[in-house]
This record gives sequence, C-alpha cells and structure tokens, in this order.
Amino acid sequence: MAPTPMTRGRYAPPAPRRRLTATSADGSRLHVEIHGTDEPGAPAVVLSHGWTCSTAFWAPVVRDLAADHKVVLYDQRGHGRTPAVGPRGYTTTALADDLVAVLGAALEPGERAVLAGHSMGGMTMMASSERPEFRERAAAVLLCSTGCANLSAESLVIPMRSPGGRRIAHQIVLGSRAPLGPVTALAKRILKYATMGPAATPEQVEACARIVHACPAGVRSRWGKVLAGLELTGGAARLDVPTAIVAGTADRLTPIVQSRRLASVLPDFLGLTELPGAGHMTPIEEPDAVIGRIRELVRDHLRSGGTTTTDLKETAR
Amino acid sequence: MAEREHEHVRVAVIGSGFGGLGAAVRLRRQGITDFVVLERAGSVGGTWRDNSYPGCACDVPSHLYSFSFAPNPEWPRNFSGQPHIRAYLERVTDTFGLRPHIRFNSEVRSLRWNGEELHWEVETASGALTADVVVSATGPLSDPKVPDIPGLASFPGKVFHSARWDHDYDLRGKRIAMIGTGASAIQIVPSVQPAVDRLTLFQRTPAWVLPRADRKISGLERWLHAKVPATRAARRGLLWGIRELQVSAFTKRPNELGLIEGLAKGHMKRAVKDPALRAKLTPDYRIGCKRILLSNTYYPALTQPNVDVVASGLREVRGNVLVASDGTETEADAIVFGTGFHVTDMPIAHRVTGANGTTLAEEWKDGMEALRGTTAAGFPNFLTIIGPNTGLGNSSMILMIESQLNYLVDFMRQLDVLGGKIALNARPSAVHAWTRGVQKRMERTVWNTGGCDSWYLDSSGRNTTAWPGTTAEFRKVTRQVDLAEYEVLRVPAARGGERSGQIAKAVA
Repeated sequence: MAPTPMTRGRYAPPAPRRRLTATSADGSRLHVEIHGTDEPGAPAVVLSHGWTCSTAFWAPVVRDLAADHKVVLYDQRGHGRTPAVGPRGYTTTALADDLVAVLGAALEPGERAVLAGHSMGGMTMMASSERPEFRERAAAVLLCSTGCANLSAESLVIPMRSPGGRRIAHQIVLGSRAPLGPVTALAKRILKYATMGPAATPEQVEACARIVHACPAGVRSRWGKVLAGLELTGGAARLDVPTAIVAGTADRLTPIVQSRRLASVLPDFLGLTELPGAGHMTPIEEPDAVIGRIRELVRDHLRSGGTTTTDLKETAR
Repeated sequence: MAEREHEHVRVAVIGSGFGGLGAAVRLRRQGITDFVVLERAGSVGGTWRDNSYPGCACDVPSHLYSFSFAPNPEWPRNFSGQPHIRAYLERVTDTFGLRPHIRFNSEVRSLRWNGEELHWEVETASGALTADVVVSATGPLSDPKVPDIPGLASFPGKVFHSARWDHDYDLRGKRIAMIGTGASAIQIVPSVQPAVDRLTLFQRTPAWVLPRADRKISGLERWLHAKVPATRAARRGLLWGIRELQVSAFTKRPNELGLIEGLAKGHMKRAVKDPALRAKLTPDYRIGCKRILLSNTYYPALTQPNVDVVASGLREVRGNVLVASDGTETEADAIVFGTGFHVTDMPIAHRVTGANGTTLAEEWKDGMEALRGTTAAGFPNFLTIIGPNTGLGNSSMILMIESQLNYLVDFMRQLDVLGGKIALNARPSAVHAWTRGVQKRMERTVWNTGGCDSWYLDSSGRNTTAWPGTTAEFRKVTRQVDLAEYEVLRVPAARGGERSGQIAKAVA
C-alpha cells in the first residue's frame, strides 16, 4: 500500500477549491487542482512538481499563496492522481504538452500567470519555452533546484571522483526499478542524504518520504531515464520570459553549478537565490524563500497589469 | 539591411599545422563540413613545413608525436626527421579529405568581431569572408624572432633564420656564424659543421643536453605495428606514461632534476675533453628551466678544429665582422639566426579585434591569459589552439592539441544545443580565476625557480606559456565547456524574441 501524504501541519496538502481534468496532446488525462481565492482578478500561479513528487509537494507554498492568489497544481504523468502512460509517453516533449494543456484548461482565456517549477517541473518550463501557448500565458517563471543537461555526470549522490564513473552510477540509480518499500527510518535517512540538506527537519523529511515513496517504481524509472539523458540547454536559452532561480547550495541531485549555468544561458534572467545549506527539495526545505520569490514575481510581472509590463520593458530596451 | 557580399562559413580555422589539421579532422567527424582552413603558405605542415634546416627533427618520439586518430606504423625512427613529419601531415590531409577545405596563400590580415551580426569578419590575402567561429591554430613556433642587432643591415654576407633556411645558399667552404644554442641550433651545428670552413657559435646561455636514444625502427617492429595495432598503442602508451611520471619533478620538486644534471654532465664529459670548453658549455641554472635538448652529435661537433664557441651573445655587426658582447671579433660569410620564435607575444594577436574594439595584443599587454588555455574574455567564439599556458616541457604537444580539440568540439556542440544566432564569450571572472589557479601552481615550477630566462617567460618574467601539470590533467579540464564560465551573446535586435520580430527580420 503506497504511503499517503501528511494529514496535519504545514506539509499537509490542503483541499482544492476545484478539481478538473486536462487532456494532453496524446490524449492523456491530467489531474488538475485549483486552490485559493475565486475573486475575479486574483493573480494566478501555476506550480509544476518534480520527479517522483506530486501536487502534495507544494503544500506549504499553496497554503500561503491561497490567501490572495489563484493557485493551479497538477500531477505530472504517472505521478499522484494522473495515470501512467505507455512506455513512449515519457519525453520532455510530453512534459511541455502536459503543461500547455493544463494552462489551457485551468486559466481563463487571455489570463496570464507566474509559473514555478521544481526540478523536473523546472525542466518542464524549459521544454515549453517555444510553445506559443506557454509564451502567451507566462508572465514570469521561477525555477527551483533544477538543471538543463549533464545531470548524471554532475550529480553528487554517488560519491565517486571520476566523472565517467559517476555518470554510469547515476544512470543506474536514476533508471532503477527497485521498489522503495515502506517509509522506514533507514529509507528516510537515505532520502535525506540524497535529496535534502543537513538542516532539514524530521517533519520535512517525513513529508518528502511519503510523497516520493508513493511514486510507482516504473514511472520513477521511466522519468529517471529521461533525466539521465536530458538536454534542455536550448530550451533554457529560449525561455524568453523574466526568470528567477532558487537553489540550495547542498543540492546533490542538481548541484548548484547547474543553476549557475542556467543563469548564464537564460535570456531574461532576474537572479539566482542561493539558499545556504539547503538540499534539492527547496519548496519543502525553505518554503518561505520560494513563496517570497513567487510573490515578488507576481508583484513585478503580473499584478502591475500584464501587458503593460512588457511594453515598459520593451521601451527600456 | 546588411547585404551579404562575402562568403560565410560556420568555422574558419587559421593555420594548417598539427593544430589546424587536427581541428579540421575533428570538425568533420562532428559532422561540421561548413568550414575553411586558411593557410598563408602554399602547402600544409606549419612549423614542420617552415623548418627545413639541415638535421631538423622532433625531440619527442614520433609514436607519441602524432595524432591518436591517425596512428602511423611506418615511422622510420624513434625521433623522425622533419621530412617524415611533414609527409605525415600531408598524408593526414589526404586521408581525412581535408584538401577541399584548405585555402592556400590566404594569410589572415585582420579579424574583427561584429557584435551586431555575431560573427567574425575575416580579411585574408585571397579575399574576405565571415565566420561564426574562429579557431586560431597559428602555433607558438611560427613567426621567427630575429634580435635587433646594430649594423646587421650593412652585413655584406648572407643572413637567414633557422626557420627560413635558404637551401639555394651553398655553405660549403664558408665561414658561418650560428647565433643561439636552442633546439634548432644544436641540430644545425653538427649537420653543417663537416661542410663549412669555419663555424662560430654565439652562445648567450649554454643548454643542458642529454643523450638522444634515437635508432631506426626495425622492419619487424613496423610490420608488427601495422598488423597488431595494440603493439603500437602499447608503445605510445609507454612513451606517454614515462613522460607523465616526469612531470611532477618539473612542476613540484625541481630539486629532483639535479639527478638528471649528473647525466647531462657525464654526457658532456664523454664528448668534450677540453676543460675550458666544458666550463663554457656548463649551464649555471637548474636543468629543465630552459628546454632540455637531446643530441648525441652536438658536443662532438663542438670539439672539431673548425668550430669556435663564443660564450657571449652577438652585440653588433661591423661590415663582415661580428662583435660579441665580450668583445670577441669574428669574420663571417653568413649569419644563421637560431634565435627562436615570437612565443609570448602571439603575432596573430595584433590582427584580432574583439567585442570591445581592442586587439587581443592590447588585452594581453600584461601577459597572455585565456580560459582553459583556449578562450579570451571579449573575444566571443574565438578559440586558440596552443593558447596561453598550454605548452609542455617534456612531452608531446599533440596531446595538448587534442585536448583543446575536445574542448572545441564541445564548444560547437553547445552552440548547436543553444541554437540560433548566438555566441559564447568567456566571462572575465572565469578567465581570471583560471589564470590565478595556473599562476599559483606555476610558482614552484622549475621554469620559474630554476634561475634562468627562457622563452617560456614573457617580458615581465611571467610564465604565460607552460602548463604546470600533467597532460592527463589538462585532458580532464578540457573535456567540456561549462556554460557557467561563458556569457551567452544574442543578436541585439532579436532579444525581445517574437515581440520585436519586425526588427529582427529587418536586420536578418
């Protein structure tokens, strides 16, 4: 029996205001949740979770933003309540198809939003950068703890000196179908080592473990192989939207060098917030930093009236 | 709207020596065929075409001094001569189908970065073109350096540099003055000594000379190398491994080289019996500080009755009389300069104008520096093969060239991945951090502590030419281009993406 998310505290997923289904380009059906206020004109935020996670991952962020935002969450294919697909359905193109479908289903016509993606959710933003539906909707983007290429050689989960050896070892780990089993003390220690910083609290580790262990091993393996062979540098280079990055300095899965490289490549880069001592799970480890950055993006790029921002910026250039 | 009057290529490679031909091979293997190789002369070979002086050979064993992707089982000697190395490069040119890419007699006159179009404007002796990427493989040993000697212009006899040997000039029975005691001079001296009437060697600083374990590679070995490639690889591997193990003595523990000095002294003692001459020929600096020379014939030639060693540099020329710094006067019919090359002041640098409107030479006036020996800040999409701090004291430069070619290939891959009209400009912070690291390691190397002045050091005494590590280390740090070390440049008008599509179209 797969573990269930936390039921109490900051990390317990809140109940959505509305649930709906988006249909992706290949006909896959995606589970979408709408949280927060239904006041007309409330700024919209769309959150895309990472590998082996689900909508529950964003719980602390949603709890805060829901007060004055419309918050859209969805489960990436195979995760949470979105069903798995056939073996050929796991590609970065599918990530983009799914995001675009969610934007179309959950936002009003012409409505723009601040988009935030964690890890594979950030890669989803890069993969979507050239889609017209994405460009119409995205007012600004926040990338949390993510990267665009070369993860298997640069990840630091398996401590090996040789980059060649690390590449092979990480490819094996990422593509592994081994079941994670129940959430035990040992399993949590391993998960904390691989994905979280030393300062992560037991509650945060518990919350992450419950989410990650709920991901089916087959889905984990399929997406893991996509991550191992990732090349989204070009997508990042064409992510022509104001983009900020948040990353932990103790991230082993997508080390901070990945964020620094993104900083070089992004065409409209706003800044990199390095969180000292934080690991890969920044929205759970440092929710306030992530929430703060999202609120800033909403204030600077969405609230001041959508298109006017763009016009002003164009004049400035 | 700028009319495209010129031909445009993806890559322009400058030079067709080991660096340029190697770059051409690797580009083709990468599937890039839209490139040209610009060569100032009429044939390939670079340094190995220009240096044809008598006795010219490489002092790195041939099986190591060749491309890993073009092994040659037919090397005739351990240390093959210039004609064989040049023929090897001709053969590489044909084998890999490089001829269609090469433009001969196309010396590059100027290179100018166009920041609007994001490409290089290249003026050559045979016309103009533009290129997205420029690979400068002009080589450190390509432009001869002749000292400015007062009165030289009025010298009535023949004057030439070792790298511009005049084969029409008959040395037989002539009085020859050889200026310099570097790697070229010690090969020239024994080769011309038997023919000339008098040979006077002007020696500013003596060199350390070790025996050269040269021999013919037997027919059996060559047959084996051709039939069983693993034997060739093993031979190369052994030659490489021995030299890798020597590196730490050069870079970390120069005192260990004292043992080698004993070998060199013994070598001299066996050939030179005259204590006065031995005293002149014995260096006063640590071996390895200047390049260690290999020869079995240099010392014996110096003991011949028709040879004089003047332990002093050439100060001035008065008519046909050469006056040394110590006052010695010598009459001569011809002067041969074995005085080396413009190494620390790369000549092409004066012709390259970067993104800031300054030339590379101006940027490098306080010493050359480039990220991973390859890219300089402010010179986008411009890569130097054998750039700053990539030289070796004891092993094959081909190893370093091939490392830089790996970097070039990844550079091209990153440009493709990023897509569109873009350029990569090394961040000054990354270049400085790299240079600081290299110079820190340089502090205790024999080149900086050995007590000599050498062509590794620039005019301010900074070592901007040598790599203070093993070839394996350099291979590792040039495996990939780290985009965090680069700024991505985009066409200015296209920055707004679709929103300014109109403008973008107008300048395209």
